[in-house]
Amino acid sequence: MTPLNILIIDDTRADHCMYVELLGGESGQYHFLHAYGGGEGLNLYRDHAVDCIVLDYNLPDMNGLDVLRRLGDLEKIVPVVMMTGEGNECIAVMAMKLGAQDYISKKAVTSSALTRTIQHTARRTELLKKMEQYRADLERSNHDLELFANIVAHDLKSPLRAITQHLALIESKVAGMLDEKSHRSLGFALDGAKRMSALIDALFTYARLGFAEPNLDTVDMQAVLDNVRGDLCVPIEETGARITHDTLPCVHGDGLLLSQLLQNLIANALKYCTSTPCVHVSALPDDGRWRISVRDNGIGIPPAQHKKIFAIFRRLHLQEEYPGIGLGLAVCERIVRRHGGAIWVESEAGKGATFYFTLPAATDAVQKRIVYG
Amino acid sequence: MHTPYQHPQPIEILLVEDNAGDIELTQEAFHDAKIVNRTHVARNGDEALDFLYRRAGFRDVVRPDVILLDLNIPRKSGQEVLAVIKQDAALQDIPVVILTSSAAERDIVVSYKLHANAYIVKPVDLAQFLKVVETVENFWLSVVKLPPNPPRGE
Amino acid sequence: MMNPLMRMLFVDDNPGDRDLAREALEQSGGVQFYTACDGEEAMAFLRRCGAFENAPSPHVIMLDLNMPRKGGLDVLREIKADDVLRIIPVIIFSSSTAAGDLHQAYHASANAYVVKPSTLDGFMSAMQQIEHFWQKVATVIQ
Repeated sequence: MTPLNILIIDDTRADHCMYVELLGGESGQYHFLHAYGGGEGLNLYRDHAVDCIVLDYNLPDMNGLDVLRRLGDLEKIVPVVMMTGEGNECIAVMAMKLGAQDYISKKAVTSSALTRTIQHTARRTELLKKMEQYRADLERSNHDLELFANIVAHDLKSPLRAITQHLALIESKVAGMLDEKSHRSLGFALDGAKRMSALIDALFTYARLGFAEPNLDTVDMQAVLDNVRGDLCVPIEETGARITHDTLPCVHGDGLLLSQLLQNLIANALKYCTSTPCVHVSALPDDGRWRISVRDNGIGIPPAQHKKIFAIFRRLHLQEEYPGIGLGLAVCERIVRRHGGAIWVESEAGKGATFYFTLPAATDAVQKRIVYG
Repeated sequence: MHTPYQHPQPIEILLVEDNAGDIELTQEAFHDAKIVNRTHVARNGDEALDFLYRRAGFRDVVRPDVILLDLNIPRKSGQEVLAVIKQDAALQDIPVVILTSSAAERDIVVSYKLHANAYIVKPVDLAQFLKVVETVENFWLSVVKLPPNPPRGE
Repeated sequence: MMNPLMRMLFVDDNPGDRDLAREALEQSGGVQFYTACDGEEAMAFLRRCGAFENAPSPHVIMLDLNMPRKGGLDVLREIKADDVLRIIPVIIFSSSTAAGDLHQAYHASANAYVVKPSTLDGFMSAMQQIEHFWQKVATVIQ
């Protein structure tokens, strides 16, 4: 096992000797660096790989808390054990706030206590640094992914736009001259381009859910439902749909994402229905969270498909039966998961479907009083 | 830069105009616009700048998304106001459409040189005037993509 | 105030878009349409260099952003820094909806920014509205 490098910053030589002795001397386990002032300590820290710092408060050129502050400027995570004098709890508290990992009273220091503290501090610092590394890697990876997704979406849409627009131009110029088959062919080509454009947009939305940080706030689900009703006003009017609701709560989440979630679920309810759609949205408390449900009177989903439908690109119908891309529920699932919740469906073929999802309750306990809409 | 930029509504319009009749006509025309908008009025150059700098009684006003500016206004002239706007880094990206009665080439050249976004000569005919305002609304509120609002606090 | 025949310089490296734009304006007959395929050609046209020594001065410029050799933003900055060229309205016409591109364009004194619509009808309509505003409503230097 590689020896730990211990840096002792203390103005009293006797204390240095005491610590070294308590830790078993210059054995194979520890190497010691000695500093008798704050400035000297900081220099040694800068020039050597140090696994743990034993830091005294009283130093000739500055005090221990100043040293901590300066160390904090050099690095985010510093392995410091603060040595405190008698009755100096407040210094200990300050030290912890400034980044010390632990503190020991000088009067009560024993071999086992010091050993344990140093070992823990060294290990803990190592782990914290690893975590910080992972976090930085993840951030960089997310950033790269975001860049990639932006470029892909943009570069794919550009030639697609050329296809769409110029095919439409051809159609406008030669419509009268085409035979039936060619006309259909042109139609398929145009439809294909349109689908591809919608696919790119949907995929980008889906991918974005992986790397973008949600904007968390208190969200009034009643307001979300009102907005979604507005956005879906055309299909609602076309189908003559009735959308009802119980009192809906305030949740803790990203308003835009939750709008998308509700919109996808209700749009599906409107689409997969052979009669006049009736959609009911309600909410029940569920163990500190909210369980919100969207119930419809549509064509229903056989139990064997209940898990499948949330997978990306999984559809149960032909384009001719019900047009769609197969991403709506996959996006819903991702959104709910980003909020730490779960989503599932209860349904049988021909008997409508109820989609349930859980969301965290709003952090402020204020619940909006709603007039039944 | 993730999702396509969508300009928040309502779109805030600052109309800098001293002619009461023109103010009413313009506000009326924008009221019927397809895009949700709000018009604010400043009746002279000083008021316009007070509005833009949120001072002297205009502390709580919004930042306009587009400015319609008459050159012939009291206190500070339209051109002075234009110059101030386009030389201020915090305001210069707000589109300024000059809407004025002058057709003098000198006025037109100076305005474009000061980076006016467009120059329109007000028609005398009422019907034409309304058509012009409608075109301004169609072009600047729906065809054109307005600059993104700076984050709050800027 | 009517501008009799508006001269438009359309700068875009995409030949398909140049065609579409020309198509959109052809019907009205009110626009004399000139094109440049990138930033360098655009500046040569505007400064009447080399092959463009007899080029007319355009009334309005439509400018794409993403072009090889010299991009739209550089062209925009050069035009707006030139005492003579800066009075010509420059309309950025780009498929980018990124807030960063919008911000940079307006900050560089673009007169307007229009996003290229993705449908044929949208594209045609946008071009026609641009023509209508700049040819029939706004006044530009002849």
